[in-house]
Amino acid sequence: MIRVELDVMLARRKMKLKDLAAEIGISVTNLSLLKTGKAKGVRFETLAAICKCLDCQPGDLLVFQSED
Amino acid sequence: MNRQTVLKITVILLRFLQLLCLMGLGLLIYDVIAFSIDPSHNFVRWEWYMNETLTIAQGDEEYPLQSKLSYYFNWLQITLQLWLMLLIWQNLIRVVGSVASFKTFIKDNAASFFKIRNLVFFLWILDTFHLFQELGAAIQMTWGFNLEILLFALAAHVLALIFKEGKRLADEQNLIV
Repeated sequence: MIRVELDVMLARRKMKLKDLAAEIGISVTNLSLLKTGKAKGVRFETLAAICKCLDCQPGDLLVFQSED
Repeated sequence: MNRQTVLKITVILLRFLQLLCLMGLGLLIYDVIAFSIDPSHNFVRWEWYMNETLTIAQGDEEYPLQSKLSYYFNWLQITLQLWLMLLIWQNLIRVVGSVASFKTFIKDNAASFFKIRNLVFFLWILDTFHLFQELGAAIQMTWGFNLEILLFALAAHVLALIFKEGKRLADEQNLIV
């Protein structure tokens, strides 16, 4: 499964979720879905905007975790 | 013709059919009251089961009088059928209305089509059996198998499944950020 480490990156950048949402123009609800792992998928466009804002790579946000 | 115009025309057409059903029900209520007061009343041609048309009698001698059992059976059968048709049009209007307002894949639409399927199936069951008894004569019974109605029920079932799948996909789409 894919684990989203948005909360880790936000903590590293000392940034709040609502500030990130405002910066990239996505609702807090949607970002919250992504942060809590409830989202079924993420668009490249959204991923690129988050990476740009947090100055990171997609690999810093998404981590593959084996289910075994 | 654009999408909205087509949907608007559909709604108008369905409302017209609904109005026809209501008028039919009104006529039947009038008829049952008149028949209860005077059993020789002969307003609606009740041999509709023979040629599947419901017409107004031209004169007293044109159509045979029927027994009370036959009258009330036919009255109940056709009243129920009209009522079911009214409910079918009502559900279709609801679905078309939601499609017109760009809320195509909502939970209610699949439920509406499942309801339509059940209503049409019940309509089909009601249509399989007809009874007529001329006054003083033996009861005539006919059985029929109307494939068109059954196909309509099947179409409603397939549409319900499509709308259910559409709702699932729409929900999934909402979880993509």
